[in-house]
Amino acid sequence: MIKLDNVTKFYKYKNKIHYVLNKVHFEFPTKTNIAILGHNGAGKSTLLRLIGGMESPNSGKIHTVGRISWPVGQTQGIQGSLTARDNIRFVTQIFGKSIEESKQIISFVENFAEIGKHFDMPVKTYSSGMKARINFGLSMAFDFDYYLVDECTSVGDKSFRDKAKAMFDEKRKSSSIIMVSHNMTDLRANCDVALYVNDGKVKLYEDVEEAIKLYQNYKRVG
Amino acid sequence: MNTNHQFKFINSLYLFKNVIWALFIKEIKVRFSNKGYLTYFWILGEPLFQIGFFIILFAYIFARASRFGLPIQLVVLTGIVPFQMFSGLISKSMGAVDANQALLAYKQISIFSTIITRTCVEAFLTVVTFIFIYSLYCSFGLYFPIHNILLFVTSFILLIIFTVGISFMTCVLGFFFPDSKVVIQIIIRFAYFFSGTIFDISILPHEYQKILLYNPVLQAITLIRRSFVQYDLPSYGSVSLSYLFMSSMITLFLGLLVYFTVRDEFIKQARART
Repeated sequence: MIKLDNVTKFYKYKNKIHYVLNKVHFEFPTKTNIAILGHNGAGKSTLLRLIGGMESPNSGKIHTVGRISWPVGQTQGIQGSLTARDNIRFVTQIFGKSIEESKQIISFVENFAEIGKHFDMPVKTYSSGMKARINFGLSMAFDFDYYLVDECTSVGDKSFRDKAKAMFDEKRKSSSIIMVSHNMTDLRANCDVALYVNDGKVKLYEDVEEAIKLYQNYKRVG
Repeated sequence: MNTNHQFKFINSLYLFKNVIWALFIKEIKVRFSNKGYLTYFWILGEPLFQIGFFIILFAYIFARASRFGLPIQLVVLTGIVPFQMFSGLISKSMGAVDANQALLAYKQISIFSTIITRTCVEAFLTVVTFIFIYSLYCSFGLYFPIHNILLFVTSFILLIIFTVGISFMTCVLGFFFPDSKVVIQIIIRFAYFFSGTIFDISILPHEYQKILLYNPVLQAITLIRRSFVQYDLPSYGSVSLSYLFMSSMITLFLGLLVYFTVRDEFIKQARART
């Protein structure tokens, strides 16, 4: 369960205040995959980070029950100077996995991300797509109640996106995916409902198409 | 319900151990794997060069480093290596947040654990360096048997505790006031000359001895040095294990107090920087 209780989040630049969330009161639905849409700078990534515990609201509270993944983007959670293998091993260790389980997880991510021999080279040498795929595969390897995904399924060719979709379908049986993306195809394919973030407010749409139309119309006018 | 609490307690210790171990392995890997042989060489080479330089300096230029005829090689070994642990850990503590920035995305990683890990790494490397140089001496025919191993170990542990206390404070200060990092580095530079690294306190006049004896690092170094000789060394009395003990405990307490007071704000700001 993720609940935002009168949450306000703003950023200050000199004298200007930009409200990302303004007294938002919202509860995320469970066992559904949720898309988060909005124009650039509306606050999608911030919302994800708030849920993931990476940032705190300026006022209000966020109640969470259950296991929530770290916000999976392109670079968070990955140490550049280590190889992908070392990074994954690190994460399995802090989650208390046994050596057997660690080996399984490492080979799972290796097969999923498909980066070849780069797997044993420092992550800082990877392209942004490779980093995103490793990060994404890594979060899928663990059991969470909520998976937070920030624009990293759009990097990757069709076969990767098919794999990601299959993974989402698998996870949907027991967990929820909360996904931020600008790629409408991905959102259509993977999500059941959509959350539209705009002007400090969020609104839930049971129909993803409706939210997408709203987003696209906004782009044309603004 | 009693057993549930016990289970949770032991489970949380187990989780902490996992985090420290994972961070420890990561630190070692980051320090050594990508840089090639130069890193291995320099970890040991740096104290070795300093020691070599001061041995030559004192052997040929100054008359002696200790009033009681302690050999110069012993004096600099027991001075430079422990001090390097002290200054190394303080530097590392100030860099702990930046170095682990990406990993703060995981809830299990706290800044406390990064500092504890860096302490373990520095202590481990110090022991390795000490053993290495000691063996080097032995290979040259210089044998310095330890007469009081309990004193040696206790003093070293207390030095670590003292350093940990200071490093919590410098970590917090360095994060909230980035300019203080430079100031702290400068203070450490000066401390090098006031901690008995390259000379023994016994060569100073009594008035100056009294002042310098307030420095816990100097106390630790002097006690470590004394553990290599017999008991009846005249200045032994004014060098005090109990002073070292108390100052270490108080410093540790203050360091933890500072850290836990600001912890919530600290972790909030640190995570937001990614």
